[in-house]
Amino acid sequence: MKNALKTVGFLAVFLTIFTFYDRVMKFKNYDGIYGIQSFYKEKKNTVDVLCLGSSKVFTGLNTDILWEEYGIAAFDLAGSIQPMWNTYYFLKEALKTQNPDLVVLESYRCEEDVDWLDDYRIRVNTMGMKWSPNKLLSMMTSEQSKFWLNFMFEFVQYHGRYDRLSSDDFLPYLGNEKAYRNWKGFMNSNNFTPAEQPAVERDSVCGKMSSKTEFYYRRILELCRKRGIPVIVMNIPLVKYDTNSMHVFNEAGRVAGEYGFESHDFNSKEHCDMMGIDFATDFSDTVHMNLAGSVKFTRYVAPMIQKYGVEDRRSDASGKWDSWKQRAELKALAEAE
Amino acid sequence: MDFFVNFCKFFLHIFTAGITTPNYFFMLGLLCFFYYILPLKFRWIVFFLANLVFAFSVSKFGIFVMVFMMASVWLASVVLEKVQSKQVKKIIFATTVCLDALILIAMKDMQLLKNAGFLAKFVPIGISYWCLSLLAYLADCHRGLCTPERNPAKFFACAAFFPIAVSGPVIKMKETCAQIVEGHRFDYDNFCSGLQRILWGLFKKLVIAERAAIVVNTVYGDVDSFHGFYIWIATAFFFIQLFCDFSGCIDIILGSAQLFGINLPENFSLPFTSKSIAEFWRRWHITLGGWLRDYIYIPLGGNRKGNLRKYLNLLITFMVSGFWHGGTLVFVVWGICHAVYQIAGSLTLGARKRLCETLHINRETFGFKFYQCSVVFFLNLVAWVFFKSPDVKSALKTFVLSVDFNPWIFFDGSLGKLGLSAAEFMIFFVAMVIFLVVSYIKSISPRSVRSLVAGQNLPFRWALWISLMFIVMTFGKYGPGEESLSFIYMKF
Repeated sequence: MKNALKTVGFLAVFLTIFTFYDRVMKFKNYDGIYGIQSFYKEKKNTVDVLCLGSSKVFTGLNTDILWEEYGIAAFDLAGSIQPMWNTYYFLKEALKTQNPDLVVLESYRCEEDVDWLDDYRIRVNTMGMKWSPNKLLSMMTSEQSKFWLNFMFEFVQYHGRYDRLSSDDFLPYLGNEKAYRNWKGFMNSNNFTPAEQPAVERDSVCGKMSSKTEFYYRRILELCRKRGIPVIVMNIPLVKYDTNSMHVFNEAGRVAGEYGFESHDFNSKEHCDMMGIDFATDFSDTVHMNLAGSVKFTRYVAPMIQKYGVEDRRSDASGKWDSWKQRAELKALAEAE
Repeated sequence: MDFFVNFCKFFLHIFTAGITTPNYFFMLGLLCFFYYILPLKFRWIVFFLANLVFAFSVSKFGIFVMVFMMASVWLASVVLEKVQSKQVKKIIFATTVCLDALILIAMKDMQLLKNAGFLAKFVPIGISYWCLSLLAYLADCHRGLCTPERNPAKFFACAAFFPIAVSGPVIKMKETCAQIVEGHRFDYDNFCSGLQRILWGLFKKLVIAERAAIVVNTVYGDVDSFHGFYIWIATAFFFIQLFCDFSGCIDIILGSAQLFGINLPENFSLPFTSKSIAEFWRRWHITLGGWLRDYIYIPLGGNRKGNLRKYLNLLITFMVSGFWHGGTLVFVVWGICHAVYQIAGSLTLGARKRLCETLHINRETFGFKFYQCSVVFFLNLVAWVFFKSPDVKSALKTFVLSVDFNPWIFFDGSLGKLGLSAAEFMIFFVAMVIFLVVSYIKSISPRSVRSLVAGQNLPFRWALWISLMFIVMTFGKYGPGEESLSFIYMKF
């Protein structure tokens, strides 16, 4: 009995210290980890539009514009180069507390052709999640079984950061309250890389997704259908668009159709012309839009989102959507400076 | 279905993982759980099964060689007990020893041959360690010094005991077998002591050895770009790396065995405090040294047949030691170095004593002992150059490069070229201070450091162990991108 008490006491002291250690040392990437951690802070059933997918979501779908101009309470719950299986578990985790009117699923990673991810991708797409079966399954699906414990014991991944710690690791909101308090996952960039619009001859040939990607892509659609949540599958414009991307998206669109969901490849010349995208100024690199591009793109897709009966929450007086309002105020303050 | 298959594979993989990985500790936890829930007399079955899975998952074909060698020794030991004729006993003993020794030599050659192809798959895990134990066991049975184990499953549980298959120690089965096959009750203090020993082993391996390895690999990986003191610094770091790597591994192994209530023999006893090469070999890789002494040196005649024969026996014994380490000429030369040191030490002992008397040098002072330890350290450095080099030609070239006087590298920031940043050097330095303080306490106390700590008040004890846990967790070099999975002595 005495020994059992000693063990419990020792573990309690160790775990208390470890909690602080973990908070300081762990990765805080905005491109996956901090996004879902911010998501957990949202009040129950306040996210009306849940935007899922890879980094193209949090650089393309501008949640600030959606709120300020349309009153749409949207959240970009995405991660860098996020494969469909991690997206699936993000969705499952999100649906624990939210019941969105619409899920926007960005389809870039339907092109995913590997079954196992590198350490960086696993970290950004799983480590932000709270401990739950979803997190465990998300990790286990991403990595070969011999490395599972390297991710379940997260310190194995982050312990070497001792020489890279900065004030961001010790202060709340990554040390930048104006940028990250009530953050909705959107990451703006003012960089630009001049490019030309990819010339791809459009056709309706369907490509092939890898079996693992298709399996989880379908699970996402099935889950949404089961929960009665409509889905828009979309391919956000990118410079690195080619025939293969188009064919894979055609397949993604075909599969979405099977479930009765709509899909749009916004890389077509017609779409790009209508949204006014300028490839010379609106991309920060070959995949991601910059702020200017995201504003044009978001204004273009907002009416499609509104079609699903998403309400304008700006005039809501219940206080439920205050975090979106506060986010807009902080953004205005930051811009004024 | 894929996920289910992956899940099953996970349990096989935990047996193949390096002993510094979370997988290993997960496996250890599982084994402890099953060990302590079984009735006492069946607990050895956990080791029997763990050995099988461990050997199989590391080398699917090697397990056949392992089982064959163990079966041959078990059978011979049982037959030796029954047979009365000395002549027949000798034949059985000699045949089995030759068979197993030949297989060991062949396997070690295959380890060395990079293009051994399919045959290389037959090299079982830890053959160099358990094979020596098997041969010693058979010799002891032949001499009537131990009673053979009649149950082949118990014999396998003991001879292939999974922790020692990693890097030793070379156990004497006549002393250890009984411990392994008899069930042990859970002992809280012993269990905690085992965990503490594992933690200390991880500290030596992950915090010290892995940092020292960076300097060693930088210099020895491109030896042409370095000269003078760079070489000697790297060789000194190699000595530290080797010690912390090997003794750290042994600490993890001995700590793991202690979790099951099994005390394996010690392999190190403060080798840096040796005042002669002979003493060094009583403190470094003790179990191998003991094996070589008992089964090579003494059967050859030891020191009972005059000085000339003694020196020849020493030479043969250390050549065998060198061959055991690598089987290539460079390791044999390393062994010869140590034999020559001991022969020279023995030949000049009288002259050195007379010189001290003539110069009125007190041999009992700290200063003189420090000088002796320094000489042993330097002689070892010279020998380690052979140990670290890929061949004799490269070793000789390294010696040529090392003969250069460039003391300014200690002052002009040139040490930054050795691969460690200033912060990493500082961590290494602090870790070495901790290591030396612990070694010093160990050298002046008859009790182990862990038992000394156990005698302290609870807050101090907890603070100490929790601090060490966080030091290892934070500053240990493990996880993605690190090469801490393997130990130097695993290759032997």
